Amino acid sequence: MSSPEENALTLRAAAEVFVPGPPHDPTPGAADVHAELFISHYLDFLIPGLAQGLPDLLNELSGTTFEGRSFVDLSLEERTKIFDLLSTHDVEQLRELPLVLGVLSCAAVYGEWTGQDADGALTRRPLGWQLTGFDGPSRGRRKLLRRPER
Amino acid sequence: MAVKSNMPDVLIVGAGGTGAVMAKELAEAGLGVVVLEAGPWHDPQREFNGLEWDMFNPFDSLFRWGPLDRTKAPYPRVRDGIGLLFQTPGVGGNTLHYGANCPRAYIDAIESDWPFRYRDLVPYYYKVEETLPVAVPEVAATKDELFIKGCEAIGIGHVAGPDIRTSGWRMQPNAILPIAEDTDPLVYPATDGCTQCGECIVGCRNPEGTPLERTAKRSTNVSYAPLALKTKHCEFRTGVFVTEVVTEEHEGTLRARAVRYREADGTLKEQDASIIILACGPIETPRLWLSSGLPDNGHVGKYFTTHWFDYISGVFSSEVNMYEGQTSMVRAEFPGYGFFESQGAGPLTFALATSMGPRAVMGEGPWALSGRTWGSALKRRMEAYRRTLMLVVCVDDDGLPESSVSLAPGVSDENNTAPMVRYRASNQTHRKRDWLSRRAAEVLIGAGADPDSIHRADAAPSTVHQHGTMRMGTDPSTSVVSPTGEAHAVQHLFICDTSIFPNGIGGPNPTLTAQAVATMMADGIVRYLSS
Repeated sequence: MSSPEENALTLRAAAEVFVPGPPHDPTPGAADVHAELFISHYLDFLIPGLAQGLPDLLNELSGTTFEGRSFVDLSLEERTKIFDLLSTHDVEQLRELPLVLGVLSCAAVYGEWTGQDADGALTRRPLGWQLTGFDGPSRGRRKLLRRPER
Repeated sequence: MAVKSNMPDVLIVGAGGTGAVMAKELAEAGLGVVVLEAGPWHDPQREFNGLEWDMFNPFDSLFRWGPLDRTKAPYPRVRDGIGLLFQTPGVGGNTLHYGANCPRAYIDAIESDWPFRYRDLVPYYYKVEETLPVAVPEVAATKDELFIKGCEAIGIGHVAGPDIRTSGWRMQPNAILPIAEDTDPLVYPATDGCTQCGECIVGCRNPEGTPLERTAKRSTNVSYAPLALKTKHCEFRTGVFVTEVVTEEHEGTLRARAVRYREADGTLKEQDASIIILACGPIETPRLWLSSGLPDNGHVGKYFTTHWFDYISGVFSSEVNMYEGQTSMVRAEFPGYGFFESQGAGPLTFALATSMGPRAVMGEGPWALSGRTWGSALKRRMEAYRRTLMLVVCVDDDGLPESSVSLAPGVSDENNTAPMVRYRASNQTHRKRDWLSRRAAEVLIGAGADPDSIHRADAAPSTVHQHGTMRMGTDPSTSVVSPTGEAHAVQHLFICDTSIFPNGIGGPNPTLTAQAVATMMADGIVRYLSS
């Protein structure tokens, strides 16, 4: 069984498959926002202990597929291969894990989490909005409204 | 306002897209109505914040399907051959989350499989369109102007609605109030109507300061449910989960007499009624039926259809800003195949819609890439987000008996055994989907998108649209409910949600048709009770 720190690094490495940052990609990605915190919160929310069990499973698959190497030591392409193996697993719940990780990784970067404080209030511009140029929710788009009648 | 009698004339399970319609129609006819709803009655002004994750993530959002206490995990569901399941609790149900696109069914889809004629539905279409109301937007956003340009560039002509038998593009009939005037500030009452904020699927809360009944998007929590309350004959009990339909033998036949339900604190209660109507949707309605041990003629839970969506996107040289304007303001109809439309989305929705397909394949059609975009490919797509137009394809998919909702042994939530949702697509469904996706890609290229940027998500099936599982028909051996909505096997038990659809109405968005059918059935129930 891995330590909490090792589990966090494994989840971070998993998130990088979906939304990589430096050195894999020039702009900030999952590792830069510590997506592992977001992901582990929701994994344990779904099934208590999953944030521990999933890294163990990824490392087990990694070890058997890539001659004893741990998941964090794999290239992005090799990590992708682990997800492809998982998505064809005999156990239905395990087949779903790449989808769950993908959704959470995308949400960690392109959702609003990076702009919210602990109470959920939006206090700064989320990274995903900076990366996409999205200007956030609006109470109205003036240029698309009718001109007032005189 | 409570119903005065201990036993209402009608008890409705579910206050979503059709349950609230039934409630309004029956209460206006003077019947005593009780509506039991699993979720809350939200206050959009106070609770909706316009943030994608907070509003509709599948884990702990306001619209997720699970216990009222959102610190608890969502309800487990077993899936086979299908991706995300969209089930939205609360008064309004899935209309809280829908894009409010309200086309009528394709004429030939009704004429081919339904137990009544299209013309029988038309008066009820008009009634719902007037009540919601449904309006065609008079101002198009950039994404919609590009869509029209692309259609015309490849020879897709304009088609006049609302009764559709031929192909063509047209402006989207939306259950959204007419577009508001530009006032300063954009606050009700100076601003009354749609403010084109682009948040339809995130949950409408505009214009700022508006009373519930004048909220721009006409989910049933702001349209039909308030009208039902206004009659003073209708009571909504929210936060209660119906776990069983109770029946009794009556002159040799089975008759529904009550439901059992669980309140938020776990208290179990039973409520009698003369008529019971299920409006829980194509997943929960068959689940409740099967959990109650009601008769199964082999057709309960079968023939599930979803319109098996796909998402086609392309990048332009200038800004599109897909998040501006009503989520979709224009559509292209293809009777026999389905339809596609412009689709606005926030960045997270766009990322998820376009990135989670099967393994990527380089151009096997008029697209440069199909399938998932993970890694740097996703990041480059997201950097072009503001210059991207996304189209959503909805397929006239075949209902197969193996596409079904059943009970999942060994998996349960706090209410009952969990449902298992299975989806399979016929070869014909695959062909239609490929054909529509190709046409959508051609529209994007015709509109000026870079051909090398065209991406087909080849998305997994989801339940954004859902129909079938409790099909309506005249033959009790091949259907579950009669054309009146009453169950063949259980007297006084009606179903009025989209589970009774004999097919996917040809591909168009199902809510308006479901609401028209519910209105028609309400007329029948009033006649039935008065006789």
